Formats: sequence, structure tokens, C-alpha cells
Amino acid sequence: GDLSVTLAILFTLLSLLLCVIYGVVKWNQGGEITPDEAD
Amino acid sequence: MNYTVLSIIILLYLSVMAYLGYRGYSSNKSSSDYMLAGRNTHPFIMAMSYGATFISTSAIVGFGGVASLYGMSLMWLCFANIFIGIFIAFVVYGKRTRRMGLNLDAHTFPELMGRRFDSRFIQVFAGLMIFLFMPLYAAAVLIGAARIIESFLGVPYELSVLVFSVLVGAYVILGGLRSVMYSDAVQGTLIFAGMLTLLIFSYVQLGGVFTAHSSLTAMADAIPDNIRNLGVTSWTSGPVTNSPLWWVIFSSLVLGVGIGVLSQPQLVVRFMTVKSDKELNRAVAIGAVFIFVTVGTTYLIGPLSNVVFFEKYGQIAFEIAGKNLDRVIPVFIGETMPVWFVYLFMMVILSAAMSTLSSQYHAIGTSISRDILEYGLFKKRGLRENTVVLMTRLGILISLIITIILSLELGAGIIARATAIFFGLMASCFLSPYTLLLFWKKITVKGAISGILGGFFVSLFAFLFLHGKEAAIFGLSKALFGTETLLPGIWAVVDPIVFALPVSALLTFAVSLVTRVENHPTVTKAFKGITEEN
Repeated sequence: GDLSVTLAILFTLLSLLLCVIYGVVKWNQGGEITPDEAD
Repeated sequence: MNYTVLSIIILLYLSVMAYLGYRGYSSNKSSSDYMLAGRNTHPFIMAMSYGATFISTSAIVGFGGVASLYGMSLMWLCFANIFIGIFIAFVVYGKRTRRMGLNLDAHTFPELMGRRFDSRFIQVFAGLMIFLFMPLYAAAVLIGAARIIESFLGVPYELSVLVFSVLVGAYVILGGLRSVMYSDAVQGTLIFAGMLTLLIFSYVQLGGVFTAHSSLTAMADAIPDNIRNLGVTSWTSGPVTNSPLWWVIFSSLVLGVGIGVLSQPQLVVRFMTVKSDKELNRAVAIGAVFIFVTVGTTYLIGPLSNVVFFEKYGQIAFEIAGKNLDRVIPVFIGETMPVWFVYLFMMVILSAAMSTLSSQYHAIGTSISRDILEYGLFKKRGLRENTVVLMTRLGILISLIITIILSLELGAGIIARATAIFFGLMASCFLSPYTLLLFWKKITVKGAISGILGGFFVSLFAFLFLHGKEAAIFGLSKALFGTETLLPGIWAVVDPIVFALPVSALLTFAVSLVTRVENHPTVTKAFKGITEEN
């Protein structure tokens, strides 16, 4: 399509890539639970 | 198409959903078996649950229809749905919301805001907003499902609304209100599989991606004159900058829905239900793929349906659908897809509608029982539990009736607009205070109330006197000032969120600067365990 639509599709794909990379890199992070939090 | 086969498939699907709901209810009465109460939830379930709640028939049917007339510039909303609706929502808002909700023992969006400021007013006001305005969004979802039933089964629209309302009522009674994790997983997976199939099948049918888009580009002359005059000159290009449709697409749809998702009560509550940040991290990847396939398909297939219809019937989608945008996707599926896909898509639509409606009515139910009654109006006096249960059910029933009436009375092509109004209104009122309460310890209760009321009253004023479409319906501006809208020319199509959100943000920030934080112990408690990394 024109520049506007092409950019929209490009930014959509980049956002998708960002989310997938973030999810994969952080896949095993952030799972620590303190006893206080468990309560 | 064999109606008997389709009816059997629908009954089979509903039976499976009812069984899963009942199994979720009966097999384990403790909270661990439920999505909304169980923390040992697999990230796939978390992402599917969020996705199935986020993506409804409003997105698939309503926004797909709008895209068929406005073109592929709606892909900017797809970008917003992924970048803001997934990445920003989960990474920036989700982690702090989860931890703060836990610290304050908050179970609903209004309760999170109310407890953060020790303000009953904020909790009751937010609860009332959900109770009063959520039926508008629920009606958009219900209309989408009814249009599919109307198109596939050939039954009148009014009967479709009533039949689906009964189905939703039965689903809610059978445990769907608890948004059982099994159901969410099945529904999310069905939506994903159906939309992915639709995307692939449509592009194959049109000879591939570039051929399909080139064919659509070549159809610029087929765009109706009134749409061309409003700014859309090609379905594969953006609208003319500052044209009426440029403002409709970017202020109402992209801004209203794209940002509005951050303060949707039925989505915010999802962040409070996961065990740790790890689940949120993983859900970012899974959720983004889900959203890309579902809404990306919708916003691409909507415009491309024009190519298929034009080659087959010599008319564009809008004309084939009887000039009702809400009928474009149902007619497109029914007329151009193989029969087996029609059967699959029927289940996709049932899943998309039921998963969203059940979460909407869960939000309405908790708003009545917890935010308005127990912790709001009757906090000091207390209420008997049976009374709360009775009033909650009565409230949900009233909401369902309002939803049905709206579904029958709202005009053609209303799904996307009704959704945008609700998303925009929630963002205008709550997004600024919600954002600041998560990140700024110096936000005050007076600042938050100023922002909420400022956003609400500016939105109300805009709907009554400024925004052409709604102002013309209410007629108040015409009666008082002799003109349908007080704003000249292009300004009459600018969405109220453009005025209301900055006012709300400015009031929240400015009033907080000149007033004092009165609940330091609560602030300390709310931010416990929250670091810069969150």
C-alpha cells in the first residue's frame, strides 16, 4: 500500500517481534515469590 | 450449507462449554481451579484468557466491517493493539498492577483505585461507571454475534439477539461467569485457529499477498463518492491528513481503542490473578502472536473482501452487505468461504462473544456486589450476604436487559462506534489517575478525583454538544443553541477523548501538586516490593 499503510504493517511486525523477543528472553525471569507475598 | 449440521455443531460446542464450566465448578470448589482465582495458571492460559477477553465479536465483525470501507489504515490500530494492548499493558502496567493489587488486597479495578487513595467515592464512582456504561460495550459484542447468526442461519436479527442472549444467560448460569480456565483455553485456541485459517485461505484465494494488495489498490475508483469526499481515496493508503475520516480513524478508533484498552476493568483484573511476573513475561510473547493473528486478520480481510466481492458480483462489500458495515464479515464468510469453514467460524464467533461477555458480566457483577454495595454504600452499616447476592443478580439481570434493548435499538454499523465510545470514556476518566497511582507516590486523592470527574464531565459535554454524531442524537445542542454541534467544520468529528484525556491528565497532575498526600501508610503499603525494575 502507500507509505502510511506500509509503515503501519511494518510497525505492527516490529511490535510483534519486540514482544516475542521480550517474552523469550524473560521466559524464566520474575518467578521469585517471597514468603510475605505467598501469604 | 446444511442447517441441521450447523445446528448440531452449535449444540455440540455449547455442550462442551457447559461441561467444561460445570467440571470447573464441581471438580474443585477451591479457588485453585479457576482462572480468576487460581494463581497456578499456565502462561498459555493467561495469554489466551486475556486475548479471548480482549478480542470479541466487536473486533472481528464490527472493526472488520469498518475496515472494509475505510481501508487498511486500520492496521495502525493493529500496531496499537500489540504495542500498547500487549507490550505496554503487560510490561509497564501489568507487573505493578499485580503487585499493588496484592499489597492492597484489591480484587477489582475500582477497588484498586479506591484502596490506593482510601477513597470510597472513587470506588463507588468507578463501579457505577462500569455498571452504567459496560452494557454499551456488551451490546456491541452481542450485535456482532447476532449478525453472524442472522447471516449463517437465516433467522431475523431480532430473534438472533434474543436467542444469543438466552445462550449467554445459560452460559453465565452454568459457571461461565467465573471464566473457567478450561473454557478460556478452548475458546482462545478456537479463535486463533479460525482467524489464522481465514487469513491464509483469503490470501490463497486472492493469489498471494502482493497480488491481493495490488488488486485492492486498483479498485480505488470503486470507493463510494461520499467516502472519497470524506478522505479515503484508496483502500491501501491512509486517509487524507486532517480529513473527516482521518480524524475518525485516528482519534476514535486508533487512539480511543488503542489507548483505552489500558484502563479496561475486565482486562486490568487479569493482571491481579497471576502468580508472578514470570507468567506476565511469557504471556507477552504468546499474547502478541494471538492479537496479531486475530485483529491483523480482521483489519486485512475487511478491505480485501472488496476484491472478492467485486470479482464475484461486481459490487463492493458495503453494497453487498446492504450498506450495513456490521454485516460485511458475516456475508463475506457465508458467501465466499467453504462450508466447513462456515461451521468453524460459527464456533469462533460463539467463543469470541461468550468469553468477552462472561468477563464483562463478571466485571458488572463485582462492581455491584463489591464496589457499590459492600465496600461502597453499605461499608459502615454492612449488608447480609443473601441481600448482596440477591442485589448482585438483580443488577446483572438489569444489565443484561439493557444490553438486549441497546442491541435491538442501536442502528446499523454501530459496533465499532459503541466499542470506541466505551473504551474512550474509560480512558478519559481513569487512565491518568491509574497511570500515576502506579508510578507516582505524590498523587493525591483530590488529584485523582479531579482527574476522574474532569475526564467524565468533559466527555459528557463533548458527547452532548461537540461530537457531531452523538450531539445530533441527543439534540440538546440543537434545542439550546439552534445548532447540532458547537464546534465548526472538522472539529465536530474529533473524538471526545482528544479533549477529555488531556484535561483529566492535567487536572490529576496539577491538583496533586498543590494538595498533600493524606494516606502515607497506605502509599507505603501499596509500593511494598515495587522497585524501579517493575
